[in-house]
Amino acid sequence: MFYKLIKLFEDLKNTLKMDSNSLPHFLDVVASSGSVLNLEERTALQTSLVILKKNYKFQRVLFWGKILGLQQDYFVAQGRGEDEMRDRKSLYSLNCLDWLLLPSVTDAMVEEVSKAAQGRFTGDPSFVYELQVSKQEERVFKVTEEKRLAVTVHQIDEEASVVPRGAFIRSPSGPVQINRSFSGLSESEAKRLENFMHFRESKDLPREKQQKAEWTPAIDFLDVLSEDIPKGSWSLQLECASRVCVLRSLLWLGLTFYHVPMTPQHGYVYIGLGMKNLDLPFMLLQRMFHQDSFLPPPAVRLSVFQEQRFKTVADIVLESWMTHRHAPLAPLQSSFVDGFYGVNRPACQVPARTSEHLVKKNSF
Amino acid sequence: MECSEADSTAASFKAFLQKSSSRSDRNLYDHLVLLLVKIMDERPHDAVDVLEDMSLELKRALFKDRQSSLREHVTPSAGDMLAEHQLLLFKQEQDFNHEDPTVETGFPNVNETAFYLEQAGVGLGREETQRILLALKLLVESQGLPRCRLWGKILGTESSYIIAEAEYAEGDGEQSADEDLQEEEEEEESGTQESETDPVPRSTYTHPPMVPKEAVGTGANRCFYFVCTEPGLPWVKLPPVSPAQITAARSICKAFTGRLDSPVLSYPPFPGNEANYLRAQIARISAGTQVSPSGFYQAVEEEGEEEEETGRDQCQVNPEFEGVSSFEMAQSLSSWVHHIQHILKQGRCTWVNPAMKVEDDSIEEAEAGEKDERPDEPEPEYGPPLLTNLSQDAELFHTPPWSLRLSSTITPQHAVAVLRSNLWPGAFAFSNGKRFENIYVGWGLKYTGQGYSPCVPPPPQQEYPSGPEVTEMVDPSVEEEEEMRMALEEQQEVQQESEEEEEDEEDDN
Repeated sequence: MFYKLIKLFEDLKNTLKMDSNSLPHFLDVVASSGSVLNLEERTALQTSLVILKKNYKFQRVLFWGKILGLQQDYFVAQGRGEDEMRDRKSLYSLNCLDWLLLPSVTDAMVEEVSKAAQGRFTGDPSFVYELQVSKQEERVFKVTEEKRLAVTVHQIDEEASVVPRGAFIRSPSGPVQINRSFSGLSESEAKRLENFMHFRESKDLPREKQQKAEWTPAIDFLDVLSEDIPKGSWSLQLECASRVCVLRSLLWLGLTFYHVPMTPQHGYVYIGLGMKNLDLPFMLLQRMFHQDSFLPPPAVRLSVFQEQRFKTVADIVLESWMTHRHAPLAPLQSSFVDGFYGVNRPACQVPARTSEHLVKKNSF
Repeated sequence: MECSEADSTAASFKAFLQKSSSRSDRNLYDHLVLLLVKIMDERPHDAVDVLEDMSLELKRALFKDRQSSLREHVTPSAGDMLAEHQLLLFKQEQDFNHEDPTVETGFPNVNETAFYLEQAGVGLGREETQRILLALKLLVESQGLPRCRLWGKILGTESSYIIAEAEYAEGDGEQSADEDLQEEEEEEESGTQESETDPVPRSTYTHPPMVPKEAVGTGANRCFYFVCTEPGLPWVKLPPVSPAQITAARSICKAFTGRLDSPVLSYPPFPGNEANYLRAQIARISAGTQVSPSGFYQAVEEEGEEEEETGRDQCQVNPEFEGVSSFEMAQSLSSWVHHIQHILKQGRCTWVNPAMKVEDDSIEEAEAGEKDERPDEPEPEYGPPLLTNLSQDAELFHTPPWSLRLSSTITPQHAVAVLRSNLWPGAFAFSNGKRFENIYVGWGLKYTGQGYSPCVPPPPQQEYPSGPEVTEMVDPSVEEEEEMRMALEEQQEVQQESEEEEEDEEDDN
C-alpha cells in the first residue's frame, strides 16, 4: 500500500496545474472547449519548459495558455517559486522554444493599457498601440503589445484563475504552498461552485467567509467563485463521460479549468483572444422585461426582482438604454456589414413633439 | 531509589497520556502509537512537514469508522446513466456482416478530419471525437441520410451542443410549405369587435409585411441540422429557420444554455425558443464562414437560361479539381471561396418583395387606392454572388476578417493551410491539397469589437389619429364666454323678429 501512496505523492507534485510532465493528459481533458495544441507545439513545450525551469531556477513551470493574435499566437508559461502566490513569473514565446520574460505589472501599466490598447492582439510584440486623447491635445497614449500581454495575463490570473478548495494551504509563516494531503473534491462537492476559489490575493472581507461551517483559515484564505459578480459568469459541467468537472469562464471566454474528482488532478488554461467579454450582462440577461411591451423599467418594477444580481445587471442595461436614447446617432451610422445595428433609422431620433403626445394622452 | 523515582514519573506520565479525552473518547497515547505506525508503514517524504496533516487524517479516519452500519443506497448518478447511453454507441447492427464495408457510407471519417484539425489547433480530444464518430454512424443509420457532416460544437452555460449537418434529399421540400400557410392564416385572424358604445379610436398602425420563409432545400434552409448534448444521447432535429429569426438573431447577443426549449428573452424579442435561436446562429455562421478551395466547387450549368447575378444559388463539386498545394493556399485569401450563399439584410438568400404577397390576398381592394399607398416600395437587395473569394470580404472593427497561415513553420512541406475567422471566433477551415474541411467550435457569438450595444427602441407611436374630437383646446375665458352669449342672444332676437315678421306676413295673407 505504501508504494501506491508514494506514487500518489509523486503524481501530486507533477500533475498539479499543468506541469510539463502532465501536459498531454491535461490537454486532452481541456480539449472539450475546442482548442488544442498541435503535436509540434506540445513536443516543443515539453522540451523548452524543462530548460526554462533549469535556467530560471523555478520550483515548477506551468503552461499557462495561448493568446491568439491576428498574425501569430503567443504561448505563455508561468514559473512558480517558493511562495506559489507571490513568486510568479510569466514568460511568453511565439514558437514554444524561445521564451522571453514578461514585464511585471504595475498599476500605471494597467491604466495605460486600458486606455490605449484596443482590438485584437496583432501577434507582433513590438507593435505600438496609439491613442490620441483629443484633437486639441497633443498627448498620445502609447503602449506596446508586450505590455498589453503582461497586463492581460495578470488580469486573467486575478479575475479568472481557479483552484479547488483545499489544493493550496497558507502556512502560518505566510507563504502559500501546495497541500500535499489534498485528495480531491468528492463528486458532490465538485458540483458546487463554492468549492472552487480564485488563486489571487483575497479581496473579500474576512467576516463574510467565516460563515461557512467548515471554515479553516489555512484553506479558506482565497475568494470563492460563487461570490463573483455577475452571477452566472461560470459554467460548471461534467465532461468526458461525466468523469471530469470542467469550469468555463464567460467573463474571459477561453479559460477552462478541469478537476478530476477524488484525485488531486486539477489545472486551468487560457486559450482565447485575450479580450474581456464585455457583453456578459447581455448574454446572461434573463427575466428582465416583459416580452410584449418594452417599457423603461420604473424603480417600482425593479423591486419585484429582489435578488442582488438582477439589480446590478438591470442597472447596466438601463444605463446603456438611457444613454443610447439621447445620444446622437453619429457613432451608430458607421457602416456595419451584416446589418448588425439594423437599418439606418432616422426615426430613432427623439421626436420634437414629445410633450404634445403626452398632453393628448392625458386628456383622453 | 533513583530508578524508582524516574520509573514512577514515567508511569504517571504514561497514565496521563492514556487518559481519555472528555470530548472524543480517544487518548493521546493510542493516537501517537497509531500515528507512528502509520508513518512506519507509509514512509512519506518530508515526514516532519506533513506530520500535522497525517495526524488530522488519522483522526478523521477514526471518526468515519464509527458510522452506522447501514448499507448505502446507491442512486445512479448522471454519469452512470450517460455511460449506459454511450454503451449503445458501440453496439453493431445485426446485419453488419451483409453490408459491404467498401461501399461509401453517409457518415464522414471524423477521425481523419480531426487529425488535420489538430494541426490547425482545434479539436475536441481523441476520445470525444471517436464517440462523435459512432454517434454520427447511428444517426445516419437511423435516419437513412445519404450524407452527413460534423458541423461543429457550440458551447453553452449548462451543457453544449454537438451539431451534425445533412442535406435534404429531393422531395422532402414540400412538407414545410403547408406549415407556412397555417402560420399566416393564424396571424390574419385578428378579431374585429365593434362595441355598441362609442368606438375606441383604432390604431392605424399596420404590421410590416412578413418576409416569407425560404423553401426547404434552398437558401438558408439548404441543409438541416441535428443536435445532441452528449454523443450517445438521441439526436434532435432542428426546425427550419425563418428570415424574422435571422434578423432578430443579428441584433441580440445571448449565450446558449444547453436546453433546446429554454426561452430566449431579449430585446428585440426573438420569435422562438433556443432551438430556433441555435438554428439561426448556425445559418449565419455557415453563410459567413463555410469556405472551400477555389475550384473545388463550380457553378451549376443550366441549359437555355441566362445566368443572372442573383440567380446562382447552387454549386456542384467540380470533378476536374486537381488540388492546390497547402503552401499556395496559405499564401493568399483569393484561393478560398465561399460556397454557401450570403444571407441578405432581409434574412433570406434570395430577395423577395414582401409587399407582393399582400397584393395577392387582397384582390378586392381598389387597385388605384393601392398604388397610392406604396410610396416606400422596398428596393431589391443584392449580395455577393456564390463562389466569391475571401479577399473581397469586408473588414469589421478594424480587424481583417480572416487569418491565414501554415500550421507549421518548422516542417512546411507537410503542413496544412489553416484559415481562422476573426468575425466568428471559433470558425476554422483547413486545406491539405485535395482535402478540406470546415468546423466551428465556439460559443456561437459574433465578434462585437468594442462591445455589443442593444438596439435603440423605436419612437413612441401615434396610437390614434388626431381629429377634432380629441384635439385639446383651451377653455374659453369668461370674457369670451360673455361675448359668445351676447352674440347668441342677438342672434336669437334677430331670429325671433324674422319669425314674427313671417307670421305677420302669413296673417296678412
